[in-house]
Amino acid sequence: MKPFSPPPPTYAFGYRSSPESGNAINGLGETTKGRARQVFHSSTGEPLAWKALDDFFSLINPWGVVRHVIVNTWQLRRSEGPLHPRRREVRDPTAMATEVKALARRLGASLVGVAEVTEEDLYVGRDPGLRRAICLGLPMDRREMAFAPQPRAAAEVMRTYRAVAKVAVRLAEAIRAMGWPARAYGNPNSTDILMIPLAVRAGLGELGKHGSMISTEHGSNFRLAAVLTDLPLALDRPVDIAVDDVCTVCRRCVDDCPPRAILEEKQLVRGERKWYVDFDKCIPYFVKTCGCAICIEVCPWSEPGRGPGLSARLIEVRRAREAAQASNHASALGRITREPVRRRANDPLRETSRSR
Amino acid sequence: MRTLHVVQARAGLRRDLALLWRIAGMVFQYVVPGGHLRREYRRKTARGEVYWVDAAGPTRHREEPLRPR
Repeated sequence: MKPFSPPPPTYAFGYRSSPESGNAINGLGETTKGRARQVFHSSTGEPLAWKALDDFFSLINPWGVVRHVIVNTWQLRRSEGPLHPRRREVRDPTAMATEVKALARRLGASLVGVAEVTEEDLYVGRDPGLRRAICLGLPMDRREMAFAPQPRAAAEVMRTYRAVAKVAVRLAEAIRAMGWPARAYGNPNSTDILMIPLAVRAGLGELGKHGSMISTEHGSNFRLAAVLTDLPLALDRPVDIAVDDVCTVCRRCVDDCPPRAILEEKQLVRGERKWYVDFDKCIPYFVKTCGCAICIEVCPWSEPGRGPGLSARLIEVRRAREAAQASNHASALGRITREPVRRRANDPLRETSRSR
Repeated sequence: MRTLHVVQARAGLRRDLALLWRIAGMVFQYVVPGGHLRREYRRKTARGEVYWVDAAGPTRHREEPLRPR
């Protein structure tokens, strides 16, 4: 039961001259693969199309949120640093990946995976030059998130970013102590990389209808950070936890989103069909509520302890359905090959065969 | 003797002091121009007027001091 009803999607702020649509900037409808352009959150200095609203957002946030941003900024000063002069030799990338993941878990990460950084994972004009990403996830406090879209939930979001960034910073320091370059990314603002595609390929979960990640352990109720490095690490594989099976039929986030920003069907975005949230509808409400997060909170996967059972059951159902379809298909195929083809009187093929 | 460790520690100290100074600027931005903006926004909301973010908005982003130079 939510403690209060969300405010309506009406706004006391606006643009005198509307910026370019965020959906166009994000590449909605584009058929070719390409890098993403930054549009709203950024700390890299580019003049963004939606900068005025981003600036406004950063100043109307309550102090309870801003103080986490400040502490996070301070701890991220160690995201880069000097390398140990003697580099540790890595003969077995699998063993090294196991060691690094164990270290990340000891430091406090709940989800860890390794992916290769590709062109499409980098924003236009950005390239840190490191080709391995260690993706980290940390759950948020579910009781606090139940207050979404109040600032109390936004404070919990920022507190979690702060906590997961701390893990990333410490992990990057540990890798640099081995003599390998490493850079921690724990700023929720877009910097060099797109965290979600990397985390999906690192096997942390799948992309949900609401545009956020879903993992079996925490549903949507977690936040991401990453460490980019050149340390040789064995790559993880994407997981199939049956998110699409649920999201295709579930309407919970679609119905509970006040500005109706969550699209029901997958969209073509920069050459890839995926779940997409209408930026131009989502962001004004996100700003009004200082971070919203309703879709994350109401997602059925976010219910603690529900994910593993739900995933296993859905995969079982899918396999049973596929087996039944295959068996139907086989029996239908058998029937077709045994029976002669009977054509209707008006069948054009019949006409064609007669005319020959 | 200036060892690598000493050089790195001094570089780290300089980096930390510079960042502290920039964070102080960030807090100032939030408190002073930000406080003015929040009062103005509340006043306009109460009157039923629209606050134009691209006309009367802030001139510097919260994280402006942190951007690479």
